Amino acid sequence: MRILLIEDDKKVASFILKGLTESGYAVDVSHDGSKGLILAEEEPYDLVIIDWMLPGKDGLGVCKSLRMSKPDLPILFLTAKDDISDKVTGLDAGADDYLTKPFSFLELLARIRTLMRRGTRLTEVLAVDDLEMNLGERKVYRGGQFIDLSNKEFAILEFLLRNKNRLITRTEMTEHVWNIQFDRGTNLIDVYINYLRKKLDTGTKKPLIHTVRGAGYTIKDTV
Amino acid sequence: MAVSLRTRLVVIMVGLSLGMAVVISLSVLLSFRHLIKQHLLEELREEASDFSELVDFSGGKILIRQGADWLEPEHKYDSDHARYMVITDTLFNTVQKSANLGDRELQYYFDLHPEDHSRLIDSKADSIHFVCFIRPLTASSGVRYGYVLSATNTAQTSTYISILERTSVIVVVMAIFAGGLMAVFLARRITRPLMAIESIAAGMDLSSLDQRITVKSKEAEIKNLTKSLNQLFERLQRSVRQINEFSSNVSHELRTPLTILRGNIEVGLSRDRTPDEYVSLLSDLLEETMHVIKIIDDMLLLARADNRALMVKREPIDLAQFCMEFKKDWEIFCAAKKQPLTCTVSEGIRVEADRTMLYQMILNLISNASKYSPDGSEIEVSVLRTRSETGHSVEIRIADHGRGIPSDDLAKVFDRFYRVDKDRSQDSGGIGLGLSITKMIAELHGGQVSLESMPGKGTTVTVFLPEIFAR
Repeated sequence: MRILLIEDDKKVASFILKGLTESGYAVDVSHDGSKGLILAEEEPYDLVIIDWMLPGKDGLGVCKSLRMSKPDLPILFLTAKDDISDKVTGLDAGADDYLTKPFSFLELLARIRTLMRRGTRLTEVLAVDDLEMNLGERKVYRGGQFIDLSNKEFAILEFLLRNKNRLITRTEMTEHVWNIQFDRGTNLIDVYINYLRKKLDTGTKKPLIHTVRGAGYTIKDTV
Repeated sequence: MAVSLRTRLVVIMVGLSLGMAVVISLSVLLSFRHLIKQHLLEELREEASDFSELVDFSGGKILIRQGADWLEPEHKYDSDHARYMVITDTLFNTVQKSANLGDRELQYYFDLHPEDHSRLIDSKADSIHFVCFIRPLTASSGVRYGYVLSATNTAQTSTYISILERTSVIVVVMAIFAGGLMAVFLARRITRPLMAIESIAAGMDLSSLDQRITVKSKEAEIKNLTKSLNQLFERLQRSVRQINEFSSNVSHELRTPLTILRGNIEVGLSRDRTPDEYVSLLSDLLEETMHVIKIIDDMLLLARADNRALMVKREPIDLAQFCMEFKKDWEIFCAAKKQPLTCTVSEGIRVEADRTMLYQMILNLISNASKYSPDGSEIEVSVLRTRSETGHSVEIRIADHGRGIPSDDLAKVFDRFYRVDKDRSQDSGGIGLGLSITKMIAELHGGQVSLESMPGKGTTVTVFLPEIFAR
């Protein structure tokens, strides 16, 4: 899942980037409001985190513009302002959620998960056949058996599961699982899909990840 | 217990009008009575004098001429206007009396004593309203041989006087009434704006300090009171706004480093790390903690200065020696960006200052200069003496060749937590209090700070301090 973080304070941005990356998200950071807005409009992010006080264009302005161009994009607002009126202003500008600094990083993660699953399912568990992914615990089970996945593997599987029974192109995959620095010329996706297949499908009668030749991958329970 | 101004005004004014009405009525009444008495006396005296002309004394006998006088209506008929005349011998035996007395003897009504002079006598009994004038009759030899008594009924004048008395009472009552009415009206007029002011002031609290008193009044006192109160509210509102801004700034300024601390700790704890990662995390945390401490220290310093609770230990300082002593310390702050620091100080310039504060102030300015200047650019500290009309002053200048300050920001750079770089990039490490503290220290020492800047060329901060001379 790709996240854009627009936060001017480099130290704040740095730990959020580190924490989110370690949690399996592909994160881009912008320290400037207007540049952040351009990035958010061009790249297919799954969620944008915006700080209120920003140089260039302030968080509210970014939020409003982004709401116009991408009405469905989840937006999480970060701010040091904690007045009820500030919250209302933030939410009215189009933010889906609001976190006041200093926030708990675990809460930030939980809210990101909530926003991500909004409009899909009200559960933290994604499943196909006997494969289950618990997003809260960040654990994957196949037939009740725990499968240890790396962050990237987890992210790819999550993206596939969120779009199960649908063809995912390599481009889509890179856009949602890797951040903007990803070199699209590599075959890294195929490598990771191989890892995932080994871990998930080995020793089972029913492979779940399928290659659509020349197009991409899909996850489905019917052959 | 407080008595309402309205009540007090009414009481005072009613009392005043009552007093005045009573005094005026009494004096009118008394002088009227006196006048009537005077008038009666004159009339009776005249009558007595006229009748004394009718009497002769010869050979031990009193001879009375009869004539028109005895026949005049006031002597003939008994009425309210009647004048009773009696001529007596020295023992008050009647020799002749006027017809209107009939059988009555005038002498019975009065306490008569042989007198050697004329006088007016009131009647004995209260129920009989007579006054009598007694005039002795004296022969040419000087022997007293009798008296003329002239008397009149005072019923009518009593009626006049009692009417006057009644009128006076009515006047007094009316005066009380009118005074009371006027008092209520005036008291209302005076207290109405006061009560309006009071109700606005009483309803005012921190959230409604933007209210103003809008009482329309022509009275200068009320106008001035309204104006003063409104100015007070204005000042209060400004202070409260400043305090609110300051505390929201403080909370905002602390929130960011606390976010960084909390976030780094939570992310750090979220999984196992290598010792190197822990070391790097801990040093980041330490740096951020120092930042929090710096914010709190600076805020406390300013708060103490605001409350005048800051101790300034003044001592004479020779600035040339001072700069020599601390140049090495200051250079450390310029070393990271390889910026040369030059100190140009005229000899023998002395100020009276707190060493620590002076050091802190110059350090703040040097560190600012270093922060906003490119690598390798020179930072100049110069101390010189200037003479102006107001006397001698010392100028401490810190000049850099950095990026300067946009003219829009110049007016605000001394505001607390104001930063020219709005992105609050922590690269500069600033918290926006440095110049506020510099200004505060300069002002504590009876000086001031000025700042000149050319965007792209550099900034010069000048601190003016009063010079002292060696004794």
